[in-house]
Amino acid sequence: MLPFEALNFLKDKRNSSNVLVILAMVPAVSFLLHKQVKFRPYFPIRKNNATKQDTFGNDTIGNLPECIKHTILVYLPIKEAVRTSILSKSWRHTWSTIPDLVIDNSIKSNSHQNKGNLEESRNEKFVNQLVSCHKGNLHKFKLSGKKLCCFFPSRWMQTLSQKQISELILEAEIEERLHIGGNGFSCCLKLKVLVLSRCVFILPSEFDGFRLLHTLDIRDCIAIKMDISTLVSLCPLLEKLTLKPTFDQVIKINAPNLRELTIYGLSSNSPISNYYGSHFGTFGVLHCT
Amino acid sequence: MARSSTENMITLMSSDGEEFMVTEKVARECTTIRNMLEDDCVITNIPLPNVTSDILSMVIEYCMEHVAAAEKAAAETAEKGSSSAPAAAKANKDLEEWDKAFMNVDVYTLCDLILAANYLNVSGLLDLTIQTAANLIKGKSPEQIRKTFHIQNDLSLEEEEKIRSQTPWAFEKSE
Repeated sequence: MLPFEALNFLKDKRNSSNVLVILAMVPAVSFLLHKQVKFRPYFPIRKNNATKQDTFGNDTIGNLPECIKHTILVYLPIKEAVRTSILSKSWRHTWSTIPDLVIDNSIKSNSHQNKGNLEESRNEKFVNQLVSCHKGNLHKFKLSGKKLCCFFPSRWMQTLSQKQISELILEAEIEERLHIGGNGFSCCLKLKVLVLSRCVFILPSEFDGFRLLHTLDIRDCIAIKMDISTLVSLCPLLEKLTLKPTFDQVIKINAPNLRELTIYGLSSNSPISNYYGSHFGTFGVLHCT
Repeated sequence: MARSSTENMITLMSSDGEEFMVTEKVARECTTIRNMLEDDCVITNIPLPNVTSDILSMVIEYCMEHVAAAEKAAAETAEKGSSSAPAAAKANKDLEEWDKAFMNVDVYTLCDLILAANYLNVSGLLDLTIQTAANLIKGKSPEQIRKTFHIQNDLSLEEEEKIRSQTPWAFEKSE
């Protein structure tokens, strides 16, 4: 009955009752004790809240290390994360160094809804502000939502590249397209995860690939200059590939390290060989949906 | 339960000098301790100078509950040959309920738990506590957040106005 014993031991610790602690070590008594403590109200545990507040000042969450504050902010919609800048001086710049920027519908406002171009230009302005105000390195950047923006300028991509971005997710809604300017995402050489949905992008023909990329997800995208087959073949570490080809798109896969392949929109009468070439790696999972 | 009596026991010592005896399996839930045990397998007494006894007891209780749940699930799988989906779903739901009740603490305890989970590297507890803190912020006005976490507003009115004018969209009402 050692685990129970230990539990009793712990529970008694809270009461700092030495007698009970000793008793709990005796297996015969421990069962009785267990029954006893089971119904004891568990909380609140801290008995000296007041003294703690006096010693450390009132700010609980503000005393946490910056990296933990960042993690808390990452769990919030970006709009609410930015809003924490007004809490106090110590919170003022916390949001601007978060490791993940996830820009979604939360940045939109009621008053500008359904005003077409006006709404889009307003949203683009705020995405621009978020990208330019962010300081330090960025692990993940995600842009996903309805009518957020239809053009991703190359200067944003340059900024992300300087921030050593390793995870890039750009998703446009159905009936929308996101045009990526300049040489697309080819400047983000530290990418490990790349997810694109309904994007239009240009990859220069001299681009020599993503050396670190292990996950690639491309759905309904249009690639200019370099096709998707070439892009796949330029990612030597690629392990997980998800594709949803547009109508009449033929994609050949040359990925020696591939483990998992998911294909969307493959009709039952189109043999897989029509889409895919011969250079498969040995992979474990093949999903066709 | 004969098996547990042969299991190694580890003594964890809190910053205020109290000792907690736990099974090695429970201690291993803390990645920091697991690494120590892997570096030096004869170690049985581990001082944790960053964690007070009341917080350490809660961390251990969390680890014990999660170890017990995992053991129960493994035993059921072994018994029936394969795990039944409804039973597993129910066990998961029970554990979630337990986590939820466990998180019914004041913000001081919550912040101490975050620090302890971070120091001991208990990823499940860290996720749980951070998610709880985020939920306390979500959907609240700055004034409500300050009140919840006892944050003193040391910004002047001018500074506040400046922040609002820099990112006005963040202070508009959401959809």
